Amino acid sequence: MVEQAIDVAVIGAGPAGLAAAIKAKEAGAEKVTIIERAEQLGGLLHQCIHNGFGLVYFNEDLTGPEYARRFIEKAMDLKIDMQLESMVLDLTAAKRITISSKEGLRTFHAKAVILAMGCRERTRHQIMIPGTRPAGVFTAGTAQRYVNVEGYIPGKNIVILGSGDVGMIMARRLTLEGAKVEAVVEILPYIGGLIRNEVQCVHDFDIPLFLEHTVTEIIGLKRIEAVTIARVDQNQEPIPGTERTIECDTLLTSVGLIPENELSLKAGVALDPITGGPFVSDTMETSVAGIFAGGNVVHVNDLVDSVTSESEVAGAGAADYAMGKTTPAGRKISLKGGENIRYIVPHTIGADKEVTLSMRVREPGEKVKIRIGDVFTKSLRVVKPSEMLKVNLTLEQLGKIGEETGEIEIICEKRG
Amino acid sequence: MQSQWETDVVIIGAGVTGTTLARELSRYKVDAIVVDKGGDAGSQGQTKAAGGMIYTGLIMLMSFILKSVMAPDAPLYDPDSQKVKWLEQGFDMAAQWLEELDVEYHRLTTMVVATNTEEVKALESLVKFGESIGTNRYASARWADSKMCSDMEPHLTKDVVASLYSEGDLMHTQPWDIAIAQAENARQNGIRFMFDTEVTGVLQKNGYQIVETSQGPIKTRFIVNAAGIFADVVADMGGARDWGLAFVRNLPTILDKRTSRLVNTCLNRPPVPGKGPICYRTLDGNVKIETGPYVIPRDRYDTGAYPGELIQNLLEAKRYIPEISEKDVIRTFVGMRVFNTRDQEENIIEPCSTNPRFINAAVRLPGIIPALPIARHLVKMLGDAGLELTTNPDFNPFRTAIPRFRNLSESERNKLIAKDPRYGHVVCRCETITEGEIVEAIKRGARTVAGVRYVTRAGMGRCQGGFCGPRVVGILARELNIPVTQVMESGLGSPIVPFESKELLREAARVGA
Ligand SMILES: Cc1cc2nc3c(=O)[nH]c(=O)nc-3n(C[C@H](O)[C@H](O)[C@H](O)COP(=O)(O)OP(=O)(O)OC[C@H]3O[C@@H](n4cnc5c(N)ncnc54)[C@H](O)[C@@H]3O)c2cc1C
Ligand SMILES: Cc1cc2nc3c(=O)[nH]c(=O)nc-3n(C[C@H](O)[C@H](O)[C@H](O)COP(=O)(O)OP(=O)(O)OC[C@H]3O[C@@H](n4cnc5c(N)ncnc54)[C@H](O)[C@@H]3O)c2cc1C
Repeated sequence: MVEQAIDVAVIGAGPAGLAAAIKAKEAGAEKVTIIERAEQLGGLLHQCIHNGFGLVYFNEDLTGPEYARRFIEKAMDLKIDMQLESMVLDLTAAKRITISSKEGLRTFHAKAVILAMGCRERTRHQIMIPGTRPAGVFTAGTAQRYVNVEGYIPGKNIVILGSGDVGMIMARRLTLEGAKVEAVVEILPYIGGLIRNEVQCVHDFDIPLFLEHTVTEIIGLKRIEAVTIARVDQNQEPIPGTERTIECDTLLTSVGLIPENELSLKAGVALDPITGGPFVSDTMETSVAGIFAGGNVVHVNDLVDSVTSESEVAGAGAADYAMGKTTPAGRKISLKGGENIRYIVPHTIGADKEVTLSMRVREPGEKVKIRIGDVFTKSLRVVKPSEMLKVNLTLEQLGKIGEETGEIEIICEKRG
Repeated sequence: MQSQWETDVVIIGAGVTGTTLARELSRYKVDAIVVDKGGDAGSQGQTKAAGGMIYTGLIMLMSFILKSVMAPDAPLYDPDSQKVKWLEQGFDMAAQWLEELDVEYHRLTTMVVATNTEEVKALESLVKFGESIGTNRYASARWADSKMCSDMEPHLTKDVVASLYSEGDLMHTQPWDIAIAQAENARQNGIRFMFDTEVTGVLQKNGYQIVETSQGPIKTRFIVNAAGIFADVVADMGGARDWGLAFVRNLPTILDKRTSRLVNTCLNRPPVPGKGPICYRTLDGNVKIETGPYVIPRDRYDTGAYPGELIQNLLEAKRYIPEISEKDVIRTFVGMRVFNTRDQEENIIEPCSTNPRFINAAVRLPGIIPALPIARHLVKMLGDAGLELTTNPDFNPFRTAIPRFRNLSESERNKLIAKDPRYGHVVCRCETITEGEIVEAIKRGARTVAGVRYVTRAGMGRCQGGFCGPRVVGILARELNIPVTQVMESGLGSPIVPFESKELLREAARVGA
């Protein structure tokens, strides 16, 4: 078996892996290797041929592949080692990485590892849609791959369950391909994705949108023939008598993403049951020393730009760790989600350097105030679970944290 | 009418019954064709939904008690019943049968738990019933106290006061593996298979019969009806019958492999009508929940999950394993069990009363355990009806499974990849299934996405083919040399992606013009 020692191993070559590898190399790590199971770099961006990427990071409106190319070129310039068509099968806490490829199995021994495996889509089974199990039911991301990468159209009459970004983007994409999107069905009283996608992908194409509705049955034995949808009550239970049947040959589900952490579990990395990703510190280090994580493997982001910035932190942290530059364990302050805060990433901070916090609210709200202990407050006109909140804490603000403080609560309260 | 095909025996149905018969017939110089309306062997009908349990002893005792609900006057254990004989013979033959076919199985401990004194009494009478039969086969159960129960099943509810358990009388297989392996082996030994071929009628001629199918007529001397859930419909094509079929359904539920630590045994409660085993760990490390309710379906096509059914299932299982969570569900499906209305307790294995060359094999459950003795009996019946049975000197009982990359050691993996690099290319990330395995499955006869899935497990994991689906479709199109738009999920009429990019736009332009 081929065995090789390296400084930083990056698992996954999506925007997270690319940004982390570039940063690790720039920060001085010598042997940086990206390991990717697909045949090309770029991860999911490869199939996101629509625009809307890079508005924050580059202040430009790019397509997914254009956004990815900027990082791929940079990684090439920096001569970062790339192992494509290489699937990581195993990862240990000692950072032994087993890879399978057409050349055979190989093993890397890395000083530091960055997890950047992205996420997978929740399926119809996981949300327990009643009915039969015919062909023609896809997750939106799989349909996106068929349409944008493989060049095939899944059907003519489409119903989309869930108004996540991928679902809405596919509603537009399939309409442009000549299919008829019969309905976008959302169980909540509001859209699940970004407002810009609601406007540009659904309203601009006059696609019927059913809020507070869900699919109550899938009908068809071989290929899907119809779905039944119904209005739901406050408990998201279908209201009898409100059912209607929509004929369709395709159902796309856009009902949530789950961070892909099977490898992390093999290495003993502790996962946060709320995000589905690892618990991380302000250097994006997981519970296993020297294993870092960035991007959708940590928590599902709505913008690739934040995936990039967050993963740069992981890259810098991993480089420091590999070069033995870690400062002795300083303070560790836990961040706790209080009123209407579902989660915060990172989970702990050190208070000795600037940090960006990403968080999501539980419920939509208007005229609210975010309060981080007695260190920081900010008023916001609206908050929605689908739009991540970002807060930068400066050294000056962090300096206000009391010596004794071990935990800070973050809340999103109604302004008085 | 000119028949394109001619043969001695047509077997209708490529489930476990039909494929076992096909393999048994291939021990003789007999020309036979197996037809199935589905796209692949074993991935249709009941066989794909079965629990794959091959058992005797403790679980069998419980099933005898449950059956007594339907036939209250019949003895609990009837040593003269053909069904019981075949079940016992089938279990005793199973290890060799599976080993010849290179079908994976694992032995599971059976555990029947009691949570109160009434249930303890039920267990006591189970033991007595077993002893009363008078053979070791049914006297294998041992008692475990609550401490021992929690050692054996650490995640079990603390409400359990005692349990019965037995080792060695339960083998778990993935049932479709058996049908697939036998179809391969039978084909190797000269039997022909026709898929996507629905039997629509039978014509009786002078000295022969014509099987009318969606692919054209087949001329044959004998017919065996092993059509499972449709055995009655097919029987009507052959002649008269004095039996019908009755159905009972439930909703088996598969949990993520992450949870495999939650169960070690096949966990049961004392026999309750309308309820199955609670849950068990499958061969592949998933937890499978089979607990009821078992209900009478609207009709045999009623294979959709009912609203709330899954939750009911999970709540029931959670009473025993509290850590079971709906978050871990990766797949549910409906299992349609079949009985006959003439005698709920027996199989229908007999020639049609008006057509001695048309044999009905409507097997009641459990139908995997007795499949081999039943097939041998069917061969004998065909012989009695006039089919010449000359030994096939070239018969080879052994079939070798496709390498299971996921179970190999590092050095075995390297050897395999060196021989064929496609074994280094992991296509299904959840189950670690390689391109090499998928290509080999197609070479051996898999023709649809479901066919590949049942042979290799690609797409059976937590993302349910979300990731590997498009890749498997691409490999099928490439290997079968067909357009991607013609790759089917499981048989005719189930295309995955029916249109090429821009096809709908071109169509619209044509219509508009
Ligand atoms: C369908 C879809 C549409 C989107 N549209 C937009 C949009 O319009 N605008 C926007 O800003 N953002 C969008 N996003 C979000 C953005 O694309 C993602 O946030 C971003 O791709 C996540 O980056 P990542 O690197 O964490 O994950 P990914 O891009 O998924 O990359 C993970 C990589 O890891 C590899 N990998 C995983 N496991 C292994 C292993 N064991 N061995 C080797 N390699 C492995 C994978 O092959 C993959 O290439 C969209 C997301 C999705 C799912
Ligand atoms: C949920 C469940 C759990 C079970 N658990 C167990 C268990 O643990 N152990 C056990 O031993 N048994 C078990 N059983 C019973 C067992 O699955 C069945 O007895 C067995 O699979 C029956 O096989 P078969 O070949 O007779 O029928 P099937 O598997 O139903 O095969 C019939 C075939 O005939 C084909 N067909 C039908 N009509 C036509 C037509 N007109 N033309 C062409 N082809 C046609 C179908 O496509 C199908 O492939 C279980 C059953 C269920 C439903």
